[in-house]
Amino acid sequence: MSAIDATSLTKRFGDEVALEGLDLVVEEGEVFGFLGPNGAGKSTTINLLLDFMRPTAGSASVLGLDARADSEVIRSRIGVLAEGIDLYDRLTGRRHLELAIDWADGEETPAELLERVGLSVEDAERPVGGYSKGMTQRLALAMALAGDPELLILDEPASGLDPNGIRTMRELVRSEAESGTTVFFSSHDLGQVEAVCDRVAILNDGELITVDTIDGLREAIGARAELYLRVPDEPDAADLSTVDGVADVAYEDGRLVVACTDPRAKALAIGRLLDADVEILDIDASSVALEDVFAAYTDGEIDVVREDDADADERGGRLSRVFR
Amino acid sequence: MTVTWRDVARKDFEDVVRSKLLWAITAAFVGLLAFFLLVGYVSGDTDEGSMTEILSGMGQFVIFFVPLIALIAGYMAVVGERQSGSLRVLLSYPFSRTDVVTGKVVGRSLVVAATILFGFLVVTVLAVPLVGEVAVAELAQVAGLTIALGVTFTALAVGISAATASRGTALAWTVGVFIFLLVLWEAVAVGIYYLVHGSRPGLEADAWYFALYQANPLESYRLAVDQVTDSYVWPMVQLGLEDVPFAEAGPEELRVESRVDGGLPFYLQPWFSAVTFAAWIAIPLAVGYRRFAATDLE
Repeated sequence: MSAIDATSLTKRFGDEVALEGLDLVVEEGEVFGFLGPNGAGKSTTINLLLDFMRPTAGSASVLGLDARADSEVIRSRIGVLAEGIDLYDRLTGRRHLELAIDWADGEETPAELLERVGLSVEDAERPVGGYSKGMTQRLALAMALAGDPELLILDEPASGLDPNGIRTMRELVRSEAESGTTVFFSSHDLGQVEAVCDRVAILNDGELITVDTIDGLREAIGARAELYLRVPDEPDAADLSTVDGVADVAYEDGRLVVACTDPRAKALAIGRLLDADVEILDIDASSVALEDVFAAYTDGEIDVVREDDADADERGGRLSRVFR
Repeated sequence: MTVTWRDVARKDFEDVVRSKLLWAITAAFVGLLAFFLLVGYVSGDTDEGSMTEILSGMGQFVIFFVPLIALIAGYMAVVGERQSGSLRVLLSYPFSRTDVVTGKVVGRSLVVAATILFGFLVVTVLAVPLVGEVAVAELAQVAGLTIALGVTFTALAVGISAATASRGTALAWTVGVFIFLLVLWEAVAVGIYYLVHGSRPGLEADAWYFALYQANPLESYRLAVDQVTDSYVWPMVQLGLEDVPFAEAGPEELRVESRVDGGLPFYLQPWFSAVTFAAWIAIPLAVGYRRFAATDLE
C-alpha cells in the first residue's frame, strides 16, 4: 500500500488548468518532496487529497483509501499543515493544542507538543491573535503532529519561520520519518526540499515534470558543482584536468573556474594547486547546482543564478529570482 | 472516538463568546431595553401598566434588535473561517462539512440564546419593581418566542455564510434579506393582494393575506407576541401601504384578531409561528449546506 497514489488527477477551473493528469505514488515511510514554483498546482494537489476540492478527472487514494469517499477516515489518520492559514485569534495556543489533540484522538499533552516545536509555555497561555507569523506556524505544526499521524502533509512548512524555526522543523521531519511517518513536503524552495527529502517530484504549470531522488536528478541533468578560485596568474591548466572528477577548467580575468562532476573533486583540485605552489587569493563555490536541475526542467531559458552572484541576497531572494 | 458537530459547536461557542463585537452589541441591546423601560416609566406609560404591556412594547424593539444580533453573530460563521483559512485547519481533522455547518448553527445559536436570556433577565429585574407583578407564564412564552426568533435568524445567517465564498457577498446577502423582511415584505404582501383583488387590503382583509404576512418570521413573531400578551405589538417599520386609516385606528382595531372575519384560523394562531420559524431555519440551511458541500475550498 502506498501512502499517496494519484491517477490522472486533473483539476480545472473553467478554462484554467490547475493540475493536469497527475500520476504520482508516494511510498510509505519516505520523505517526499513536492517541488514547484508558486501556482504550479502543489496546493491544488493537496486540496484534492484532502477533499477540499473535487477533481475534474482522475482519482487519488491516501493510505489506500479513496480521497473522496473516505475523506473523514483519511483525515483521522493524517496530520496537515496547510499553507497561509489563520488560527483562532481569540483562543490561546494551549487551547488550540487541546482541541487538536481531542480532534485527532491523540494521547499527547499540549506541553509535549509545545516542546517539540519549540514554543514556550508562557507563549501558549496567550491568545493566538498576538502571535508572530513564525509562532503561528510553529503552533500549526504542533497541531498537525497531534494524534501521531501516519502521514504528514506539509504545505510550505518553512514559510514565516526564522532559521531556528526551520532547523526545528527539519529535525521534526527527520524524527517523524525515523519513527515511520510518511512525510509529504510541498515547497517552492529547493533548499528546503533538498535538506530533508528522499525523493522529489517537480511540478510546473499543473504538470508533473519528473520524479527522482535528489542525486538522481543531479545526475540526469549532468549538473556540475563549480569551484571559483582567484589566482594571480593563469596556472598550467593541465595540472587540474587530470584530477578525478574535474570536467573542465577555464581561466578568465584572474578567476579560475573548475567544473566538477563530483563535489569531492573541489578539494582535490585545491590540493593539486597548493602542491604546485600556486597562490590562491580567494575561494568560492557553487555548492549544489540543483537550481540548474530545476531551471532546466521548469524553464530552460531562465538564467541560472549561481551562489556567488547571490551572496548578497537572502536565501529566498535567490529562488525568487529564479522564479521571477 | 470520532469527532462530531458537537466539537465544532463547542469550539465555536468558546471562540465567539470572546468576540468584543458581540459583547458590544449585547451591551447595546440590554442598555437600550433598560433605557426604553425607564423612558416608559418616566413618561407615565407604564403607570397603570402591566408586565404583559411591557412585553408587547418590547416586542416592537426586539423585532429589530434580536435579528440584528443573530445576523451579526452568524453571517461570518462559515465564510469567515473559509476566508481566513482556519477552515482548512478545522477540516484537516476528521470533520464532515455537515459537522461544520451543524456545529456552527448550534454554537452561534447558543451564544444568541444566552444573549437574549441575559436581556430578559435584566428586563425582569427592572420591570418587576415598576409594575409590581411577575407574569411568569407570559414572560416565559415571550422569552421562548424571542429565542426562537434569534435562532431562526442565526440559522438564516449561517445558511448565507455557508452558501457564499467571500465576506462581502455574505454581508450583502445578509443585509439584503434583513431589509427585505423588515421593510419590503409589506409591499410584497400588499402587492399580491392588489393583484388578486384589484384593491389594497383594508382594515378587514382575507385571512390568506395575513397568512402571507405571517410567513415573514418577523411578522410571525409580532403576531405571536400580540396573541400571548393580548395587546397590539407595533411594527418596527410600517410603509403604510394598506388601505387602513392608521391615524384613527386604535391598537385594538389593528390587531389581526379584529381584522379577520370570524375566529383566527389555525395558521394565524401563535403556535403556527413554530412552522414559520422552522421553515426559515431549514430552507436557508439546506441551500447553504448544499452549496457548501459541493464547493471547492481554496
